[in-house]
Amino acid sequence: MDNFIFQALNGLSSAMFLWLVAAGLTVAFGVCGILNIAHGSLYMMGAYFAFTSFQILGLNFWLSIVFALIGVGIIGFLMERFFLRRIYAQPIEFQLILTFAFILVFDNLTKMIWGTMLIIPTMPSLFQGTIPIVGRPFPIYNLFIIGAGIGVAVGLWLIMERTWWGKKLRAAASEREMANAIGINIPALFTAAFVFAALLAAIGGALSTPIRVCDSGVGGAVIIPAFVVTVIGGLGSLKGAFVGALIIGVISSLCTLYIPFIELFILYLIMAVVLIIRPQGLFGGER
Amino acid sequence: MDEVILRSERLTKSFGKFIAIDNIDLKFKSGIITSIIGPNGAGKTTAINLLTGALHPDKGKVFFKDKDITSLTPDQSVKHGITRSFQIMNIFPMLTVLQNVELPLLSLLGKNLKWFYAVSRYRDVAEEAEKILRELSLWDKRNKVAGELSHGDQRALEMGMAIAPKPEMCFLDEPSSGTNPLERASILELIKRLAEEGSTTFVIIEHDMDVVFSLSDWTIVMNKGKVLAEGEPDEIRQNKEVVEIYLGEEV
Amino acid sequence: MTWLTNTLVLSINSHRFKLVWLGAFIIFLFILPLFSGDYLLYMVMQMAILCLLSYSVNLLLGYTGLLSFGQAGFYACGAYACGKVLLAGASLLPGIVIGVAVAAIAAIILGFFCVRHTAIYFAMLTLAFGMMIFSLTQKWVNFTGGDDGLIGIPRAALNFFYIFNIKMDTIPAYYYFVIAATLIAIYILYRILNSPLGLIFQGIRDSETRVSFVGISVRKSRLICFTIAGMYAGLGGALLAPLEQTITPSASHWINSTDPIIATLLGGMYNFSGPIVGSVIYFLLKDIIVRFTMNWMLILGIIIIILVLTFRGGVMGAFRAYLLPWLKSRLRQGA
Repeated sequence: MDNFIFQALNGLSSAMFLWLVAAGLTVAFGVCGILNIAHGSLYMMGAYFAFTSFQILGLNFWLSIVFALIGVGIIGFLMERFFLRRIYAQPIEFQLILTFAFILVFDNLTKMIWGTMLIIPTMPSLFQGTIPIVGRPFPIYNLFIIGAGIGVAVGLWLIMERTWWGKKLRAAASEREMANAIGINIPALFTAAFVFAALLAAIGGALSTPIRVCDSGVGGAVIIPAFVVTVIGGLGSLKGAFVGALIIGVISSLCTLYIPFIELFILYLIMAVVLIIRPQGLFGGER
Repeated sequence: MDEVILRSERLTKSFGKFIAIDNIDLKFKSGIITSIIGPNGAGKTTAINLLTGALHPDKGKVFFKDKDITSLTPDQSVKHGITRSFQIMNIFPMLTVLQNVELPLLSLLGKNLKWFYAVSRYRDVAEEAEKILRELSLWDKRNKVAGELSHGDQRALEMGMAIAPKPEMCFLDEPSSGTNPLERASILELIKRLAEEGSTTFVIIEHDMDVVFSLSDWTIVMNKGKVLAEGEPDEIRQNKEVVEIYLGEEV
Repeated sequence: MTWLTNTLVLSINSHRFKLVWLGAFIIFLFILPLFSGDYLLYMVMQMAILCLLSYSVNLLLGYTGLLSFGQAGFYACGAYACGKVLLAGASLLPGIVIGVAVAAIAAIILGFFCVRHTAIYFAMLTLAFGMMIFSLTQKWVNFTGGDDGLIGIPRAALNFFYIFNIKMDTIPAYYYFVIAATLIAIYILYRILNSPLGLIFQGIRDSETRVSFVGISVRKSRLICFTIAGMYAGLGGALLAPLEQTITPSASHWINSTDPIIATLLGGMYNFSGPIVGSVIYFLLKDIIVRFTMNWMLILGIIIIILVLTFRGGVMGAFRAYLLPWLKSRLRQGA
């Protein structure tokens, strides 16, 4: 039982990374209608930027997160403004291929800039240490991650439900023509939404550096579980992305404990079953 | 020819809270042109979607020649002899004009699973396609890509695709929408000719009143998902209620 | 000079000259081993296998309008099945046939679910199934050898009862087999795409609802298409197993599903010869670029971005749309 609780808690902290990636994926898909395969690469860029400023420039932990946000925000802006914008009207197949091309570009750029250097986790002194849970040492940082993930979820909810900008986003997501008619500047809103999505990925990437190894292949590796999560929750649903991340994070963590052989298989099986039985996911609307 | 070919019983369909079709009984008589009119959102297109299998009703049934066809899929209902055209242009834009009319013939002539010989090797398909294209006066343009035809020609082509399977019943959803007056005249001419020559019963959804009154033998007026009135075009023209809600501004 | 351009333009346009081009290409392929080393033959075989995969992708994407991220799964089915059969001591032909058959069965079963969806859901479902196959190849160690894969797959002889028995252990011998199999497969696909069935596929790409309203079951046709596509991917995999003599799980990773997508896009997805042209260009580009720079993926990425944003018809599409009219107008001025 203790094993179970401990592992579930571990799963919860990895669920938060999934959530942060899936949240951005969901915002980009919900508002701009684009399924960004390169979203994992934005996460990776966040990790590299944070790592660089923390380890190499010697900035403090919080400043390096800000540094990562700024860097990835600019990348997101350029990506939307000069590339994605030109393909919204095309069939979804071309969007998928275009964003896939960005994975190649980002992978290679990180190789050029950072070499084949691995990002090896270094814990900032602030979070060093563990606290005992069910009699075992649980890293403080993992608790912080759980808090941060929930914090982002609450923040996102507040932005979406309580601010004018959030209302505009939701309007653009559900009723594009109406949003246009009531005078919302759609292109600008799309750019903003995509940058916002990129920032969510950047937070995830930056927060991952103290505990996760990162290399130039992470972009392609992170996106697949994020797809699993968003599909299960329902493409375009933030609530769904959160719940989906929890389900997948905890299940895969428990699988590693009890049935490590078929962990991946189970994840994809869940994804396939959801797509077959309920393609709109647990929380997706009728889109 | 007063025989009822297709009828619905208590047909109901709603989308969320919006009731698009509200418990209606429709009857279409064989061998005549029936038109359905009504303001936007009256449920005309939804009605066609229900009758042709594009949508399935929440409640109610559809009978074609006394056979229950309520739950058929579109391809099955075509095999029973019901075809349609679409309000928003629906042709195969990347295929040639000839291929556009060959496709409907494949299933009719049972060639849809043939996989080795080129389409042109099947004489019956080729002959039938030529006949249809000549009828539509599109034979000279047969090797053009359909997406590059003029709007009127595309409309004619779509009608050709609807009649190619030799249906007993054919629904045309605003066949003249978006055409210029010249094109419209020729499309109306075409419908009239097809109705006179063939054994197909036509049902037309129209906005244009001139079209309705010049073409149809019977008119059904819909409003808010219900049948408001039906009768011969002249009766409808005189019906007060109809004039009020719909024709008021135009007649 | 005018004579040359004249012939060139004519030869591009007319059916008879197309056949001449094709014949020249095939003859070239068959005399290649006479004057080239094993490395080049190996490259051409790789191209042929990529080409089969690209046809698998293009049948779905260019002709039926479906983007699959799971074709690598069927590729792996073919490769593993063929590898297993050859390891069990069978001769080459049963290995290939069983490889294709296993891929076909997998495609029918998985396709039954996939073809109910289109666009994004189709892509996601094929991705999920492809990755399920990937994790199977990785974890079902007893059958697949796990991460090490199947090792020491023999390049068994091609025999047919007692009628013939051809040894396949040299590269040129296997080269002839691969080229012959690929050409036959491509010819069959050409027939399919020009047949009524192929016309229906293209109709589905253009307008699904229209196809169902001319009396054709869209799902059934899509399932047929998906199965054929699975068989072509499976054939590619089955030909790969004896070539590499080793098969590892990476064959089924989704990243492998993207190579043929890129090759198809490069060559031109609405064009029958697109996948051949694309596969050849893909390999040549890679071979050339890798000589000059380490940054092959960056350049590939940029090429794809440019293609998707500016010219989705690929090389063959550009050829038809721009180069051909230009050549013709030059010709007219000359005359």
